[in-house]
This record gives sequence, structure tokens and C-alpha cells, in this order.
Amino acid sequence: MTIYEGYGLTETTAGITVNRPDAIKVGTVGRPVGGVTVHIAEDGELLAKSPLVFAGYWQNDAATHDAIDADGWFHTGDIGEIDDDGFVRITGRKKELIVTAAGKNVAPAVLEDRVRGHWLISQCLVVGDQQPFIAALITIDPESFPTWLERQGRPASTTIAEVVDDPALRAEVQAAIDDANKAVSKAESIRKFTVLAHDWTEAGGQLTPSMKLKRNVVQTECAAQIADLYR
Amino acid sequence: MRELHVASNVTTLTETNTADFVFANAAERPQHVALRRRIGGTWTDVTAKTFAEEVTAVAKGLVAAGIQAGDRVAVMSKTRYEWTLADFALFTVGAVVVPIYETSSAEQVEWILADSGAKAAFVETDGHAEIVASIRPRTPELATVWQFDGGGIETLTSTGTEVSDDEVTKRRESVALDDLASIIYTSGTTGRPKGCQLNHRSFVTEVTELAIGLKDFFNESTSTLLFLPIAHVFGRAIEIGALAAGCTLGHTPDVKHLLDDLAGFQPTFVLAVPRVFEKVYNGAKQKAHASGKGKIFDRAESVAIAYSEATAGDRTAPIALRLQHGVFDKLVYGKLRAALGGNCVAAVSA
Repeated sequence: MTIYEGYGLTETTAGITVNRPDAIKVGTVGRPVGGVTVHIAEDGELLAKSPLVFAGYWQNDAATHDAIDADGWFHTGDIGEIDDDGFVRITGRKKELIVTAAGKNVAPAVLEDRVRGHWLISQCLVVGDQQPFIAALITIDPESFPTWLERQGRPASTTIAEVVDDPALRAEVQAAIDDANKAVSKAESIRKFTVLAHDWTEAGGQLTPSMKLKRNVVQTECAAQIADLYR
Repeated sequence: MRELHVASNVTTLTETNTADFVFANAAERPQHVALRRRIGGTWTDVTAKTFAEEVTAVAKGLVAAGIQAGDRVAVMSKTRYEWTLADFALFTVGAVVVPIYETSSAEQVEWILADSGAKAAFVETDGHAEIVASIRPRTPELATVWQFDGGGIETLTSTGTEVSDDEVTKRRESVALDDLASIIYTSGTTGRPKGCQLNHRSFVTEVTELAIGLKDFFNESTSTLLFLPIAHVFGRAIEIGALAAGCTLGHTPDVKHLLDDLAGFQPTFVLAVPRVFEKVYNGAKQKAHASGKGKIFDRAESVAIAYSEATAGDRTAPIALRLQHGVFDKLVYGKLRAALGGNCVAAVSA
């Protein structure tokens, strides 16, 4: 079974690029759909022109002008690349780009996607804008947690809150962090992390219905924990 | 590369709006199974002809209720058959469909209904109906609410019987490609949701291009079980795309029923978001390790990765790798495919 990854936004009526049986490259979101022009702006942002691009925001001209420029390019807000074979790769969100105090640009998605791939971890938020180093907040997957307890020989009644600072749990998370750090340079790597007692969910308001992290919500809710990382 | 244009696959669109797909199918392949819906525990066929008749009956009810072309009408429901029925009935009469996630809070529902100026709404459950009732004093334009669970479709169908077929056809034929089809509020990560205006041209173009580019799994001998919310633009594109291409469409409301429904429906491809695949992968890996088959799973995993890299771009994998892949196909991959119903050859991720 093959997974065909694609890319698009509500503003582009779903997919503007997609991998296809006759044109697939793993790690990319595929070539543009027919009738689409993609362009990489000076700052790396992916722009698109197509009949698939929306007709503006409802009763919100200011937002529409921000999204579609005078030349008709839709600004996706994503940082991307087009390779020599015309496959598009998305490397991060423009607005999410973190600039450390040392001036290093860090795209958090690269790290977060790797960390989140760990079986025990549910979500990850990478922080460090205007800070001396990159750090992360981690939530534990409540479905995998009982398995971890069992392996550790801990009582099944143990809560996540009771073990957020537990050395064994932190070692497991550290393994995920170490793996993610392999994907980036030393200046971009996660140096410190905090494990939270509660997971972020759609019901809790921290995830969108497509399970993407609402960074601003989490950053507000967890302002104290983030501040502690740099204390 | 700095810029790339890919030529369109279509010279002229034959449809003038999104609803046309349903009626073209009813005319061209009336007995084709356009959808299957789960009634009780059984998946029941819905032919292209029957679906067009049901869409027409609901459209008549909308006309009788005074829904005009350009009126905004909200739909708040989990992924289910009636969502698609309402979607196409609304397209047919030229209304603008405003999806609302069924998990939305009262505050979010209020914002979307008020900002869009919705004249009517479809809701699914008593809970949704209560949310809408609680904010109705602040959404003065909202005149009518139909509830799927409360026989709303049946009500529309019976109140519409006085409206003629011709009237509905006339309404549909006056809906043009550049008319607004839907306002989708982006869940977004900052600020209040903004309504993305999508016209019929965008939907018709998207699904026509997808049906060509992905013709291997969007055709008359394929099927897909939709479990993403239809309120999400990707779920919507698959919903419309499946009906456009003749790919048999089924709905499942939530992850709780997913495995049973996959087994019963046996889709040939599915659409999901990355986190769903991560969950499936982690779940399978955990299960394998817990039952002492962790080593086999891990080996199968690395062979699968090597195989997919070796076969990328139509290349053939070396014989040793092909053999290993064949062995793990029986031991591991086949079991994962079985969980998806056994017939699934592809998944689209966005």
C-alpha cells in the first residue's frame, strides 16, 4: 500500500500538489496539480496561482489583501522548495519560524514531527524565539502510557502527572529528542524540555480538527512552563 | 527551481457547477453504485439514479423553504450520508454551503452563523440543536434549522413535493462556475476563523484534475471510506471527487467505529492526515513488541523503507530486497492491510 502525500490549504480548495502513481518522491508533497503555478519567493515562501485559489475572505478585504498580492499570487505562509524534477518540499511555516537570540533561524516543524513520531509522545511544541537556545514542551500519549507503566513495572493507576519528572520517563523522551536533533545543526537542536501532565487535544482547544497544534493557544496556556525552561 | 507551471489537464470544463456531477452520473450510469450507506449494521447500495432523486427531493424542500441562490446555509454534522445529501442539494439550488465542525463550541458556532449571515442550518444531533438554539437571539438572519437525527431530511422531502422537477433543474442550470459554492471557515491557528470563499470553478477544477492525476484510485471500480470531517476541505474534496469520478463513497462518523467500518466497507483507498498514520504505525508497533514479535516488525519496517526507496520512480528493487519484501508482505504488511479492510491499495495524506 502506498501513501500519496499532497499539500494544500482551505484557500487552495484542498490539494495544489500531490504525489501520484506515475510521479512520486517520498519526503515531498508531489508535483503541482494541473493548472497550478508555484513560485518560491525571496524569503522562501511558497506562492501559488491557479483557478483553485480562493476568491478572498468573506467580508474581510484586509485579510484578502494580505493573502493575495497585487500580481495575483496567493501567499501560502509555508516555506518550501521546488526540486529539479518539480517536486515540492515543505520545510516549515513562515510565521512559526523561530529566531534565536543568536540569530539562528529554526523551523520547528522539522523537530516537532520527528519528536511526535515517538510511540510514547503525543505532541511537541518547540520554542526559543529570542531565547539563547531551543527547547520543547512535550505531552505524553495517554493511549501508550499504560504500556510504558507496564514495562516499567509501575502500578497501572499511576497518572502522567506523577511521573513528569521521573528519570525513566525523561530518558525515554530524551531518546526521541536525540533522534530529532539528528535532523538539525547543533545550534538548532533541542537542549531542554519539560513534560506536561496533560495532553493537548481538539476538545481542549489546543489542536485544530486536523490535529495541528494551535501554537499561539499553547504558548499562552503554557507561558509559565516556557518561561521556566529559560530560568 | 524558482517557479514551475504545470499545464492543466482540462481544456474546457463540461460542468457549470458542482451539482452537475451528480446529475450527469444519474444520466450516464444510473445503476452505478455511487455511495454505500450503513443502515444498522449493513452497508446498503445507493445508485447514481437514487442519489440524484434524493438530492432533487431535498432541493425541492429547500426551494419550498424559500432558500434562494446565494443564501448561506450552514451544515454542522459528523461525517455521514446526510451531510453529502445536504451538500449537493444546496449546490443544486445555488445556496452557499457553510460547513461547521461538529465539535465546535457555542461561541464558534455563533461567530460562523453570524459572520456568514446564514439563513438556515442543518445540524446533526440534539446537542447541536441546543447550541444553535442558545445563540439564536444573536443570529437574527437564521430562519430555519433542520436536524438530521430529528427527521430533517424527511421533513424537507415532504414539504417539497409541490415543487416541480423542472423548477429544480432550472435552479441548477442557473448556477455558474464563478458563483460562490461554499464559505469554509479556516480552523486556523490564530485569531477568529476567516471565511474562505470558494466558487464552483475551484471545486469543479480540483476534482477534475484529481480524477485525472489520481485516476488509478478515482474511477468506477474503486471505493473510499471517508472518516475525515467533511467540514475539512480535504474531506470535502474527496467527497465531491469520489462522486464526480464514480468512486463509490461511504461515510464513517468517528474513530470509534473506524475499524469495524473499514472491515465492512473494504475501501480501495482512504484519505487521512499524517497524525492518523502515525497512530496506526505506533499502535501496530506497540502490539508487535508486546506480543514478542517486535524484531520481526522492526525488520519488516526497515525492509519496507528500503523497498519504497528502491522502487521510487518506477525502478525495480534488487532481487534480494524483493524476496524479503515478499516474505514480510505475508507476515506483517498483509495484516496491516487487513485492518484497512483488505482491499486498500492506496492512502492519500494531506
